[in-house]
Amino acid sequence: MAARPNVMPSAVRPVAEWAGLPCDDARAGRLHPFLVAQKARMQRLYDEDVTGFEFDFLIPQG
Amino acid sequence: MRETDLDGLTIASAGRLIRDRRLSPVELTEATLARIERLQPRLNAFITVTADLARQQARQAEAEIQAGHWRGPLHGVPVSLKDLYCTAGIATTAGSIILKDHVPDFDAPATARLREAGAVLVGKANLHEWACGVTNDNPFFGRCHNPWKHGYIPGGSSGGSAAAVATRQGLASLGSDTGGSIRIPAHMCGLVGHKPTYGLVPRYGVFPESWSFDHAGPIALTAEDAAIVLEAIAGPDPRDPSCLTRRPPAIRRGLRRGVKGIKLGVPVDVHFDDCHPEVHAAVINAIATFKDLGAEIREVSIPEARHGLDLCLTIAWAEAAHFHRRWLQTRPNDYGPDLIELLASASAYTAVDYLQAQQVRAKVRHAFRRLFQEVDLLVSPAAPLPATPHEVEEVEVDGRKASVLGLAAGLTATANATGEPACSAPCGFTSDGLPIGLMIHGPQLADGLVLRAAHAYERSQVWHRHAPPLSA
Repeated sequence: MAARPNVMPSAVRPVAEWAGLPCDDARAGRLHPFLVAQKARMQRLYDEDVTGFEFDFLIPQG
Repeated sequence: MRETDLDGLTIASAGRLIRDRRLSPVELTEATLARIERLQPRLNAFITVTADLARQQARQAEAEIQAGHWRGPLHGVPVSLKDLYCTAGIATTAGSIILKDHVPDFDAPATARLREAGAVLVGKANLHEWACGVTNDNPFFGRCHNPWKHGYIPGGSSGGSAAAVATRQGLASLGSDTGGSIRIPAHMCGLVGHKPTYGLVPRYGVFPESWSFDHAGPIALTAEDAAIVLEAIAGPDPRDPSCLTRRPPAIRRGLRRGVKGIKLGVPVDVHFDDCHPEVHAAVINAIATFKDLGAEIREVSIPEARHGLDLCLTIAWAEAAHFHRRWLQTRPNDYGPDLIELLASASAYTAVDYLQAQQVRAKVRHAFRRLFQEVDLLVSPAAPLPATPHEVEEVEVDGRKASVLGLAAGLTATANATGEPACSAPCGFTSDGLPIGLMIHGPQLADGLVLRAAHAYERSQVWHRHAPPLSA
């Protein structure tokens, strides 16, 4: 089990800027917990061994 | 016909009466419109009521049937559409202020097929903004209430559809399901909601949340009614490249064959975690009923199901963020407060994240495919908790806080990731009168078998005959 991933509050604005989203201090504060949850979610998915499924995503039959 | 005569009607029973000319589509439609007029201020199930069109379609249906041309069980029957199905000449908002003046010049294939079947459109149902949530607390078109308990969520995102059908403001509705948006409101409103096999029902003309998780399907009063509607709307359409190209298998044929000898899998992991005790008890009772009906019950392990919600919140939200990208950049203030941050944060998923999620999804799909070589169907709770008050965003489970969205979609989202058919059917009520749904999940294209099991269970029970107090 991986350690709980961290996202520094200072990372929020560059992420928003990359996505082209307007982001003031208030929005950055609201976005931060979402990004923390997202990083934890992705960590759970990265913890999964997906060897052998490399090409399957090209055929998303649902 | 009085408005109260609506109670007890289903599509199957109304269709027979209309065919035999013992029920007038015009009178049925007028009674339905009277009910909408009475309940709309309390439930807010509709964004647009199409009374003039409904009266015109009902008159046409009546004239055709009088002339001996009965089209089938939907002919002259009032229905609604979640307001993200395009309707020619009628506003289609997707529950968003951005589309408040959007009037399509074409019908979605599913809309057109209901028209061709002779159904009468009474309105466009309220939904969670852009179909992205479960509360139906729409910031632009108002909150839709659960007909079983005012101030409670109807579930979503097809909550207006479910609130309408539960109170017979139309005898069925088309919803859409990305992580459970047909089955969750069916569970919370005491109805049958069926998410079909991916590609069975064309989604062209249905505003997307996520191209690879979205499904279009019916919310109805009974399994038989769901089968009638599904059979009408299923089938290929060249405008939807994800649609199956072959003719769909029969859905209604064999509906009454029961469950004797059917192997029903009961998952020992994930599906009963975090379950409200009354939901747990109702589902266990339903499984015992299936056994009494002759089904073979087998405990099965499918730990891969634990990824269902994570896959939905990754892949589906990334696809949603992609669809909304331009508006997020140019019109961020035209999104509700609960949605803007979800979509904005989903923009941060990298391509590498998306690909990892797709590979996990493939692994989950393979695991379910193997499981369905051992059992015919899976049965579980549709959701671990019944409807919650509108104001409640988190509940406490085993000493930790969990979001209502995450709990509600935690079990349903897996079938969106795999693309397999799954329905929710009523299996009881909590002690304070809130409906509970049983989920029946089957392999690809086993939609008929899923609804056959729901129908067999329903015939041995009375849950689907209960009506919320508002419609009395």
